[in-house]
Amino acid sequence: MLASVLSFGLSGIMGYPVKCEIDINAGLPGYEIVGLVGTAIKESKERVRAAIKNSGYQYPIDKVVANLAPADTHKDAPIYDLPIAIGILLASKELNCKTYKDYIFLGELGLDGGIRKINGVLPIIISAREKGYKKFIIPVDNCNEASYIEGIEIYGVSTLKDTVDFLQGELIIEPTPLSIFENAKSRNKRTLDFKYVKGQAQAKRALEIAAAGGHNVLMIGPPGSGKTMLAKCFPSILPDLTFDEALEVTKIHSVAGVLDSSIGIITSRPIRSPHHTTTTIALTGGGRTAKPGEISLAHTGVLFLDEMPEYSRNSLETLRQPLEDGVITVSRIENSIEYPANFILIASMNPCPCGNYGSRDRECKCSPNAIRKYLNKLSGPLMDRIDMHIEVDNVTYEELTSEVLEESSESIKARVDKARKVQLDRYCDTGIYSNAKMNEQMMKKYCKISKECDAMLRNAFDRLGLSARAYNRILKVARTIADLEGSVDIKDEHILEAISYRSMDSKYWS
Amino acid sequence: MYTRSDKVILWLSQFEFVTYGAIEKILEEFDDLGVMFDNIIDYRKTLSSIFKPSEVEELYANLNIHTIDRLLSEYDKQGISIVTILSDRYPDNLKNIEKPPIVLYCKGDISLLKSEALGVVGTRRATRYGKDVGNKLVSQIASTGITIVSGLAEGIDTVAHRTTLDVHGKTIAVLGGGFGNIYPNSNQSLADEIVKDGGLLISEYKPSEPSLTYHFPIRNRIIAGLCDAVLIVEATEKSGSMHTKNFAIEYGKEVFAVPGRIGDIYSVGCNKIIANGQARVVMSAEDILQYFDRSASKTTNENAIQLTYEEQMIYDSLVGHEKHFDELVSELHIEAKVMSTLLMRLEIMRIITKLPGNFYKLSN
Repeated sequence: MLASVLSFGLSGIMGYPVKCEIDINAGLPGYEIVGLVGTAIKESKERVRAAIKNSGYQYPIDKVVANLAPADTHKDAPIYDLPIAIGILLASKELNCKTYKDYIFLGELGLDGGIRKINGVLPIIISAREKGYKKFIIPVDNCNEASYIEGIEIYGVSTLKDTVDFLQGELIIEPTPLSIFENAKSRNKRTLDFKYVKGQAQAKRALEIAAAGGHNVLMIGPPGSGKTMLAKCFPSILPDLTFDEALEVTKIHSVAGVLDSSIGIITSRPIRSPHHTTTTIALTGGGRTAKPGEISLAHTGVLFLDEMPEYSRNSLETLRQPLEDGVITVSRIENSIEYPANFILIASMNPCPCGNYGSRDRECKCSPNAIRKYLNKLSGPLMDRIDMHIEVDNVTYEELTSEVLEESSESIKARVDKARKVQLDRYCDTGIYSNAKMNEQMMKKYCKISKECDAMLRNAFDRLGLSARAYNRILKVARTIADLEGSVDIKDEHILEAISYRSMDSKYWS
Repeated sequence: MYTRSDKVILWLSQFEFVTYGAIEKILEEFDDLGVMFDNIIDYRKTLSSIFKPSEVEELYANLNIHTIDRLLSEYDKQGISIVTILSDRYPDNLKNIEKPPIVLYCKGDISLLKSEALGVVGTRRATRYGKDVGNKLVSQIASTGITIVSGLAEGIDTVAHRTTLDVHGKTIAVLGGGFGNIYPNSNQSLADEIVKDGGLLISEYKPSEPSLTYHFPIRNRIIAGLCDAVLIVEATEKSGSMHTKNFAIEYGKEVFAVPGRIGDIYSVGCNKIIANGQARVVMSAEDILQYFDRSASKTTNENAIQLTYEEQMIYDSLVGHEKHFDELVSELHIEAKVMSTLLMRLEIMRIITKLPGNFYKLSN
């Protein structure tokens, strides 16, 4: 007998239909699976047999052949246990129903017949919906993540037996109710807030600008000066995730298998802080199955690289393409996949190997050569993509214990939101959302400055010894500062402030 | 332009077995090296008392002065000129030191060798204080026309050369290796600028010789010998600067030292030699200029600049102190964004200077 059950596979974050065909023939008892499958699927043989047996059904004493079509696409995730088991039951007449053709089956089986959570449900369901599929039978633990999609029916099942009973009409399972994104959002409260960060007035202001314009930031300061704290607070002043953005980033997290299933959707902008010993592959994505890396997990959010010069040169240089295009292409033997990777880079570093260069109360013990070597670890092209440099110094005891109330993230965020709105209106239909992503033409159009401002800027370049590459960065940041002020034109004070965030270009670092 | 004696002495210095002592003995023995070379066959006996027989044979086997002419024209192409101890251009100052260099390789303006000069030395790891004071003193002294002599090392040496070039003064860099191996590498461009801007590089080593560690203390004797006084800006207790000081005292040169804070490791050396009377304390450039019988050139370019109320507040607050950005914000109650703008404006007007770590101070 032959049975054919529908399921789905994933290539990157795009899904494609997979047909699980099961044929049972007279012959020596045995099990064969074909269709370019990986080890995890080959091993499904034992899981499926035990699950069927332990659920109280008869496993056929014949030759079983399973085929996963399309046969030329490599499949690796153990999500086909459930469709194969259903197929075997159908082909061996243990299960009689016609309705199974309406459903997409996804799920991994346990030996006891239980159905386990799988990775990548959300991108599969979104792709399947686009292709016109409406009904899904998925592990009950994945229901949260699937419940945010409108116009489909999701049936969560926890055992193979439940699934069979449901298909035969003996058990009624209600489709999972649609979850509301706004409700999920209210569930997550940020604990880090700028009101707990004492002092650091300039750094906070700079981060506000960075959040408003989507600018990448490099923080320079001695150890213990609060760089990490500032970076951790940074997402709290970023604009809220929109639902579309949330789905996009949830897809990536779902594929990578790092999604928190209790909420099921990413509700706040992610902050990823990979350790500096991280490999290039872990950062950009890759591996045998071309999984998304840290930079894709940081999509729509923040990638925080603490102690940037400690990362391997290789890893840092691979950031260049995504910083420019907002996507990363991961190429492997079997497939080439494009993952979105549109993030704000917040990097931190010490001013020198010992960390005390420029500190107010500690002596730096590094030779000038050592300092130069350390700073040279960051290549010019990479530095070119970082708009703002800020210096962060230790907070003094007086500042730390002062009673002055610091501004809360909420009120900073209100200003950021306003500035973002100005940018959204300005760039509607151009494919970009923030000042940081402006190209040359847009800069000519939106960053016009008066003759006096130009003269002043020229003067500043002379006096401060700024490098020429700073020019565009300064104008972009000045544009954001003007947007924060609600000013249409870029004025001299905006430019002056923007220049003050280019300290790495100044003479004293070289 | 080179006398026959110059060439002979250069010829001798090409042999590896010809030591400093050997040349000294030859100079004692013969009044005119040119005559000695022309009749060298007759002096076998004298030479045998100085060299081993095999070495004498080697000298006789290479009696060709044309190789030296070729060498000199080769040097000429590279912009290198030679001043030997027998030359008129050799500074008298140097002749009075112990073991004066026999051959000086020079690149740049040779006349500087005989000019009035101040040696400026100090630690390679200069602190902000050292760099600031060094810059201030050297710029005032160099602009009166006094030549600044230093060693092209990192730190204070670099400050001394760089500042001199900035005020269009004259500077001599004494190297611890050949011209082909400038140490540190990072100062290669500084060396080029010195030559280009009318300064002078000198070395007692052949252009191809490497910069070896033990060269540097020996090199310091030339710095001390070449100048009329030595200024030590910052120095640890045991350092090359202390060697230079010892040489200077030995040669009867005046030593000046910049006092530092007690406990500052880079000022211990200076404070100590001030305390034991080996060095005179420097409070301002005047102290040194007086020694040279000069006075600071009055540069009164104090253009009155009209500051705004807030800018004036920042200015007043910075008088006498370095302050951190955050300190200024909390002290003057000016918002951070406005403060950034004001500070940048003042910086562009060169009224204040930004220091590493977000500190600000008034410009000199």
